[in-house]
Amino acid sequence: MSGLERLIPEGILIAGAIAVLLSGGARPSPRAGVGLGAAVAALSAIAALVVGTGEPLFSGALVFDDMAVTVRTAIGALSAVYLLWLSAQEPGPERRREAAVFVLLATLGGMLMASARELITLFIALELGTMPAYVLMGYRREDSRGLEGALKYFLLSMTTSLVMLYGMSLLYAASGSTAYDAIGVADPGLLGVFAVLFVFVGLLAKMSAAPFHYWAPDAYAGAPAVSVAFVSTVPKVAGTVAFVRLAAVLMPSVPELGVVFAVASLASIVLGNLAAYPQSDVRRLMAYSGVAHAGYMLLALAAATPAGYAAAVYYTLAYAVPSMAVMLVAAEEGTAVDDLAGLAARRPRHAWMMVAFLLSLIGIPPLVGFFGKLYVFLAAVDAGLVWLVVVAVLASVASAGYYFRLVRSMFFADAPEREAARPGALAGIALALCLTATLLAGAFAGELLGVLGLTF
Amino acid sequence: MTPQGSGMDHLVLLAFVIIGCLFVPLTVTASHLLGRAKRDERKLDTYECGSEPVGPPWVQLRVGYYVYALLFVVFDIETVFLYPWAVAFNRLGVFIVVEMTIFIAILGAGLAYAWREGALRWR
Repeated sequence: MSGLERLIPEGILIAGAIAVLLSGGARPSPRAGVGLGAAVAALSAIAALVVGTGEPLFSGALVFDDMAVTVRTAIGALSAVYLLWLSAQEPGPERRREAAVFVLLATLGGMLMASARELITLFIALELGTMPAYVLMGYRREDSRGLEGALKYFLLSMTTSLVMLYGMSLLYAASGSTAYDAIGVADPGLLGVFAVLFVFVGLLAKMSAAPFHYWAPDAYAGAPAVSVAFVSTVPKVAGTVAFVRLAAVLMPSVPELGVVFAVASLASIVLGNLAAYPQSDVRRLMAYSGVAHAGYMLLALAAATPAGYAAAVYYTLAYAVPSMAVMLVAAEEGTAVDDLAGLAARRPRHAWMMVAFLLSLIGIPPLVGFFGKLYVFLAAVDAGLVWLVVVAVLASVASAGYYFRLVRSMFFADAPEREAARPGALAGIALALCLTATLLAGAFAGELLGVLGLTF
Repeated sequence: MTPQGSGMDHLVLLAFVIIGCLFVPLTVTASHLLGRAKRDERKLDTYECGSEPVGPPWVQLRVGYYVYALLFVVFDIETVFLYPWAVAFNRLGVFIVVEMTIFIAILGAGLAYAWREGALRWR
């Protein structure tokens, strides 16, 4: 059967996950297992890039356009960096090797999500991407707060999945098909409008966009920071692509969606940026920052133009890299904002890298976050959403306040005497890779957006 | 998307929803009003298919049962896929053999892991 070579990256991930699961002897070294996982993820990213674009598979259920190739490569690379970092950490009581397996499986789900253009395929890919996340959120079994966070995440995520699945079934009832090319037709009728709303309410909740964001801070604050770093970034990138693909198909038939996205965007940007201020836990702070960033992504979607769709995907990539890096540093140093106190004295290189990541999240040029915001705002202004952009810009300026609280803690707060965290050199390399992406991806913003925009 | 069915279909649906919402409150209220409120100890007891309940309800089950149930479900699902595969085997050629081999290999890897972790030993 020809064409299956396009699924080589996914095949590598499955085979690699099994290899990591069964690696080693009776008492396998978790570090070696995680390192193997990093190699597998890197290999799948390279494979995704080498295999490149091609004709759709399985009657159009999986497409391999430029957006799919770009995002599959990015997801594989992000997972590789994450596993590289994890492999250098001191082994804890939890099962690291199994964590690597679940990271690889979530990556597999993410890659399929980036390619899916059929409702059932999308749902299965989405579940494959989030099921491992439930385990990762609760894999410190002796920590009861972690289990509480994992349970919250599981229940709410399941509920949103079901809302979305119900919407999908209505969409099938209204159109008689589950293929994207057939579900968006000129006259949707009342049933179609409700179907589309259900699907997007589920997706908005998964993206932790206001007013469906309430689960994220609690779930993240309960889970180990190590897991939050992965769960709050990589699946989100894949989810955005799924979101964008569906929106591109359904917005022409249900134009009211533009209003829904605009309202959710406004609510997310304002609420996320304001609620992040009083947080004293880095995980909660980053959860609210994630709400705000979901808002910027939605702003690009509300524009409902090809440029907007491309900008939305570029924006999540620009958000995911620095956000993951900040969480990784927090996972090494401690999850309270005060735990970062004195980082500049203890580990100056890490402190300066943190500054770069935080500046990128605020949107300071020439870092990638600036270009992400720039293209989102340009797309929105072109679509006439000027007032929304004005609010978004003001909120970005306001967001500098809480990101700089982390900087103040690192550089100017009185630090209690404590041992510096001593992970292996590979952890530093992983963070340096994130820094490189943060510095350089902005320089190639035009090219990346051009490639992403080819899909529409 | 073409709207399917007529307005009548939706009326039926509406009636169904209304009756569904009213059914439980009505029956509970009716039994409350019509029935005689004679509560003895036996009536307030936990319903246990007619036999008297013994011991506290919060008994702990061995975690081993859970692992066995999980492994059982995995292979139960495998059989569900194997039957249609066996029926259509002749018509589908080599490709389907390779595909099923991969499927069973993935499940086998899971079993091998469970085995190595000692999940199959009853302690």
